[in-house]
Amino acid sequence: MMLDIRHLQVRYGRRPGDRTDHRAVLRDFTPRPLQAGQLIAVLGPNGSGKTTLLKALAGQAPVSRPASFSPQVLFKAAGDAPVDLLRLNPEARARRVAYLPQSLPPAVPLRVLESLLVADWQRGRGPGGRAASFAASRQILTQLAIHDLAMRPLDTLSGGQRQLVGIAQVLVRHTPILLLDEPLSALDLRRQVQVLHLLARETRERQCLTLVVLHDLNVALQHAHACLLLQQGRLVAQGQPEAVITPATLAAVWGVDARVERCSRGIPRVWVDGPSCDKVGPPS
Amino acid sequence: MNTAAKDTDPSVPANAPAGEPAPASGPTLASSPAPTSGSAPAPALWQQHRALMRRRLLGLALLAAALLLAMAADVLSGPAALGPAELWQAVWQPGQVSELTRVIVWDLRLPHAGMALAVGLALGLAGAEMQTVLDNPLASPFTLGVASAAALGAALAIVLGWTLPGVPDAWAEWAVVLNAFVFALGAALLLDLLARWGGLSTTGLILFGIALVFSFNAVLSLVQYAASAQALQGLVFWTMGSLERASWPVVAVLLLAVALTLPWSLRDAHPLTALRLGEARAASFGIHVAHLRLRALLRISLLAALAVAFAGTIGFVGLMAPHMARLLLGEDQRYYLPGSALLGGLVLTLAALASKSLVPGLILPIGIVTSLVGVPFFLLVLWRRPL
Repeated sequence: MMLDIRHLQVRYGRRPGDRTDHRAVLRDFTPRPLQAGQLIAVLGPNGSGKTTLLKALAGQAPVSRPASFSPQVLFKAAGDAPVDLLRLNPEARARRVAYLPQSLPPAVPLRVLESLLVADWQRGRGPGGRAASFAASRQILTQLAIHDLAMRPLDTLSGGQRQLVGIAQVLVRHTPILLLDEPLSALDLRRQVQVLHLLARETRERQCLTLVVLHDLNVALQHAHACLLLQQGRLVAQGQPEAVITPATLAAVWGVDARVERCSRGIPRVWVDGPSCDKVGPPS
Repeated sequence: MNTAAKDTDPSVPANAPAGEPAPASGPTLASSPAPTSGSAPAPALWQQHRALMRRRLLGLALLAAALLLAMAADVLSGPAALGPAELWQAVWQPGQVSELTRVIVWDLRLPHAGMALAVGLALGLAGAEMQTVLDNPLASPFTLGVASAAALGAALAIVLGWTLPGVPDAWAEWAVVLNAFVFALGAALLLDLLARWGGLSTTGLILFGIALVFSFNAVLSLVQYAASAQALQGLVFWTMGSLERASWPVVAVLLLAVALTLPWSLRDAHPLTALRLGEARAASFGIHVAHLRLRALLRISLLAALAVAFAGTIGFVGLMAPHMARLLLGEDQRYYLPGSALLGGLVLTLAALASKSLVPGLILPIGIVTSLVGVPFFLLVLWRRPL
């Protein structure tokens, strides 16, 4: 199973009276095919196009189709003909792709369990779907250790608890493609590790294609199997975390003076010494 | 599906006592996962969920019962004293009662009560759906220009005699309604158009809706300014909101509109509930948000236009009934939408009752009374925790 992204380009529309040209947020994004079973970290400074990449893959960003080349997101599952995710209708896409938006789930008086059943509503409609949907909801609540919140309304939860519910809404659907935009924001240390381990396990056991936007490079170095590094809408590096996160890319992309050194257990860590001298601030 | 899913089959009857979930045995470490340990017994959780759904259904049933009681009280009250027994006979055996009683019950009070019910249902449902699709607690047909547009359309027909081409003169009474509907639909489509092609956010949509209210009201004032004294009298009475136009055909049309739109809304209940989690999330669940919103706006403009065309401006119901429904029944749209409709009917029926009894011998315009009755009712609801 793999995901082959070709010439993905996103421009947010020009409004009437907008004098600036269309701003391409993602430019001709064509990485080497992404393999299933790997936790893939999407890295880059603010405004580099990470969120837009995930939105485009989730069908929620305006993908531009210039005449010169045609953008494609080919999803190849074992034994199936490849499908272009960009050409699927919302329901068919949602059967393959689950997407966690960057913002926390809103604080509405919907119960946690209700919100999971609603997230899984496509399965819930099928025969025996309600029971299966309920079982999946209960399982993911247990795995995230929030089963005691099942009957609580979302508006009585803390931000971190709502983030966990958001992650549960993504994982409950058992889709082959997982797109998570900063799933670790608002989580405490223990929850962060817990979520990362769960994501890694789901990805390995169900052979998912998992793209995770991360800001903490040390988390990426420790937990990701591969990285995509973006800068101003372009892919600047792809590969193993250690090959992508180097003093050179840290200086060029983030504009910081940094070292990558191994800790006592041999895990590489980033040490930031300060803004780099030859570059004034990161592009934002 | 692994073994963890097998033992959670909710169809298995619960042996464990229902109620509280088992206490969590500390957070489970995901690195050493034990999917069945430390979890609530599945049947208990399932039963809790079922019990919640049952409580909500019961809540709907209680609302319906309260509505029926309020309607009975409404029909019983009035200058001509009428006992419950007499009313019962007049309703079920109209041939057995005096001509006068029959006229009072069938030609005056029942259409009036039916009108309060139907307008309340329509406004409650329209407001509820509007707050959901626009994700704004201030949304209602009256705050976003849909009702103002309907009012303008109706005023043009009443004052200037402007009707749609092709409407026969014999339909003059319905031409007002048709005008209101076309204007309301136009306003709703304009809102949708801007949201979709203008790339307008929900906040932008609300602001534009409010701008629409002011523009339509300005034109309405202009029409009033130009109106003759006689037309003006009719118009003022109408903008205050009143149920005096009650008649069986009107009640039938309104109830038919509710009977058509409520099941249609309920078919969209799951997507609408998902929309409460935000547009991006709903879209990622496989919901075509733009189509959903268009369908909802169609239903809203139909209901709002009919209610406004027949009963004038009754602003409170469409805004507050959804909030009451949310507080009483929660966010699940399967219960929230009918709950809001029932609450709309209840508030308006109580208002109709109050409009007859506040000043003896005088029927106040219902638009004035509704807010007065509605506010204490709303306070009562605020104290409750939602289901």
